[in-house]
Amino acid sequence: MNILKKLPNSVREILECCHKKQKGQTAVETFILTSTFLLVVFFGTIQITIICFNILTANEAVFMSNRSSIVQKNFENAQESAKLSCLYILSKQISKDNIFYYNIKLKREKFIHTASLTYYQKVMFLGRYFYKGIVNSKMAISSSIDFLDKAYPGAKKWEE
Amino acid sequence: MGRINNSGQLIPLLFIFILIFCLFWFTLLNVGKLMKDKIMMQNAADNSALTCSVLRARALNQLGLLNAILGLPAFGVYVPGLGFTIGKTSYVWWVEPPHKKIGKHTYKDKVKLARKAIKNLILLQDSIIKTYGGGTTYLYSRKIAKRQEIDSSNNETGADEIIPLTSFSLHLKRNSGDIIYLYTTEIYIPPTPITPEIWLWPIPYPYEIERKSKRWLQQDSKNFHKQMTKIIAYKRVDSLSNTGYPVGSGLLGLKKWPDIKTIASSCVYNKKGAMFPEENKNSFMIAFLEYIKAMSGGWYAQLVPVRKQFKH
Repeated sequence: MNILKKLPNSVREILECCHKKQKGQTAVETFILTSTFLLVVFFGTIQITIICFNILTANEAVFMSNRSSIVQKNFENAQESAKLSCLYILSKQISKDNIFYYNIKLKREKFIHTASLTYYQKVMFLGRYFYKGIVNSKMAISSSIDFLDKAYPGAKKWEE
Repeated sequence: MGRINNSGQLIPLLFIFILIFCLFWFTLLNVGKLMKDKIMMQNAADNSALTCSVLRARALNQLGLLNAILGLPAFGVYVPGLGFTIGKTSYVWWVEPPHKKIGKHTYKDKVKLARKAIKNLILLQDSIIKTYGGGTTYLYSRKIAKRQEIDSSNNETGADEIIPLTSFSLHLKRNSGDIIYLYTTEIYIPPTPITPEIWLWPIPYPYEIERKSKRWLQQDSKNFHKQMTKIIAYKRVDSLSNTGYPVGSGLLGLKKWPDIKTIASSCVYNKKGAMFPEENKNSFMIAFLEYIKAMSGGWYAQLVPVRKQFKH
């Protein structure tokens, strides 16, 4: 302060003026940093967490769908069963802000069922851009559909 | 006027952000573990049930073949069979080769052998039933479920335990009836200048009658058609693989970690027939004919819908 007193008035005024302006600098810096951090990193992390969570759920859904389809008597029943199982597992994730569309396809090749689940998920702040997830599952089907409820020709059903 | 010290201003903010990221991370870890466990447990239940049915099918195929041998007629041939039935009685006669000793002779050696062969065959069947129709099947199924997953120290971290909802029994019964073992008599009178040679061989004669003795295997009329296995595999909260979970329980306020239970059903099937005769059928070669009818099919195992309580 002693040095300031020795300076001419005009210079001293300018320096004091500058010092006063620095007072809000940290607040502004913090605000900018926080905003950037919040928007990019914070919400980015939330979004990645939601995407990962949905991938896990979709895997579970496609697994259960395929599991339920492999023990059905015909392909129509298998498809219906797969759709119902998928809906059951995904139901808590389906909303306009999360998974807003999904489609499960079942393919039968000899003894193998391939279930493929495609879903679209909304991404925060990206408007029209969506995350498209695809998960698959392969399982061997029950080999003899004629004997899903009885053991041999002419036998009673298990429940009888 | 002193200069304001701004250093360290962002540390609390960063700390809060890191804390929040950790929460997300912990949630993902916990949810991922839960879902992985659920998929693994369903695999454990499926494999456990399928193992049970595979062992059942194997047992039925082995028993069917032995039953067919027991169902053959051991009348005049060296076969350990009881299939030569008249009415409800089986006749077993292993013919002794001729000795051409002068006079009347009865031979019992082959009858004793036949009896022993049949008893041993029945014993073998019983041991297969004991092995596959209970304890061993349970142990195998349990082992499969437990070894569905192992950790780096080779500890089994799959299912903790399995609960069978159906019996492991093969649902077979032993047919019982009278068995008559016959010995061989030989009469030989050599030729003389006046009389011709007289040689009577083989002449069957009752050696031993066993009343209500064990014979071939037959269906248990009440349960044989119930060739299905239903198994629940579960992982407890205090399971070895749950050590350390839930991650960040203090931060997330999680005190409970759920039990995981999965269910699966499997069955054995034979496309051609039952392979074993119906209860109390005693007709000629019935056990053998039933086997021949179903032989080309054979018993196989497959997964089936669980139905009722939990419909897959």
